[in-house]
Amino acid sequence: MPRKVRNTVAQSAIVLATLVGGVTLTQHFSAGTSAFASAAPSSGTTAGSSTAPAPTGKPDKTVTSANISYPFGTVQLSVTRTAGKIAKIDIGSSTATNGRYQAFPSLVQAAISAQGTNFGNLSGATYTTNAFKQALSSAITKLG
Amino acid sequence: MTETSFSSEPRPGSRFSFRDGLFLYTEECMGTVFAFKGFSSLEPGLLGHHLERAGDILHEADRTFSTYKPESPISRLAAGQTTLAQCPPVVSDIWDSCEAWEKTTDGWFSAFTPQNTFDPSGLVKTWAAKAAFNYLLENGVTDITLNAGGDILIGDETSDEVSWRVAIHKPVSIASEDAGLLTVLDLRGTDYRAVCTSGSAERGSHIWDPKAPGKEAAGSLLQATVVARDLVAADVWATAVFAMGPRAIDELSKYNSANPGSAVEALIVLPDGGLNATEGFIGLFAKPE
Repeated sequence: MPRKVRNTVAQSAIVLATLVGGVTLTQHFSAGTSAFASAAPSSGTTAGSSTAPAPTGKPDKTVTSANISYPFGTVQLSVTRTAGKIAKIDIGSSTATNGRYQAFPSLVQAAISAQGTNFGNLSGATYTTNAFKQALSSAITKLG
Repeated sequence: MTETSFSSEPRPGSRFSFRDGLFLYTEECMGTVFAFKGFSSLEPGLLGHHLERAGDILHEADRTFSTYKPESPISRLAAGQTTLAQCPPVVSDIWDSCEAWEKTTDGWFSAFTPQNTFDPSGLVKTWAAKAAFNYLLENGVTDITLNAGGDILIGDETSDEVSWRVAIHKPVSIASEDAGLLTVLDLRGTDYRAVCTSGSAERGSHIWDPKAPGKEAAGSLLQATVVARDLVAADVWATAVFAMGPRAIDELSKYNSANPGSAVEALIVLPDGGLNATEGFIGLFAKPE
């Protein structure tokens, strides 16, 4: 079976894979209990330059977050979006200097960098049948 | 001529989609949904039969172990209406398995409730899922992944690159308005095959702290995700890590040093949204495309 066919179907027809497939950078940083809630672009300073629109219609942009508080300090992130994808994430400053938690900013950076990656399954706390169906219907809408 | 694309409902609560070898089969069971997804060159009728049989394995486990069904052996056992010896042998097997896991996790996973009844729900879902998955492997359906209500298992022979990437949901319900991703992992090229997440985002506080005086609900983390080779191991450890709280990362590091052959990695979301993880977890994040 040609790989091409498989991937196309895999990306369009499969239940939970599509649940958040269309989530944009902004939505990734939406409010709530997200680990990255305080990185919302609106609460930060928009630094960088806007150039030609990306194919997705979203302009290239660099957004710098406010200081994000963590149990072991604060961290500031700059996220650069190019052609609709997260192209670069920089750690601007960090007070997480306690040696034991040196890896902390890189953990956050790695976690955020991975957000835009396509995936086959979604892990979360055990959802109810109802929650699954509600999520599914929104995924179907996005497919349309 | 073989039909190459269809979607059907073989029986209530199940759904089978097939297109050019790519299949998705979902089965409602245990109050959640199990999704088998993969690729098979089997004739669709035969594949559908195998998938339904895998679904039967889930329902059989549910009939035996459901604490919501008053007539199940596990409910009758809790109510004192039967004895372990009178239950089907599989109940004793699960009892032994729960005791072994309680020992392995130093008491942080426990199948004994605050009321001191036996409730193996924390292990049965993934135990049954693993049995259903193995049934499919034995019947030649080897290019496959399973999403057991949010707990993920990937087969050794899974060929699609995307299938090796597993997203972790934010610590909110998948049906909530702010549903979205925390991050994405890529297990390709690693020894890990299972990703399990524990938290109160979907069902409220349902994990008790086995070490609290009254085994009160555990509540010092928003979410715990554990990656391991074995699905049941990942599930049990996710529950244990959630009950342990922030100190779980240090505890797991010690466990991993002592058990290099069965390492488990964890990513936790702290009450203020901060993250912490075991050292080995850092290498599991998907690389941006």
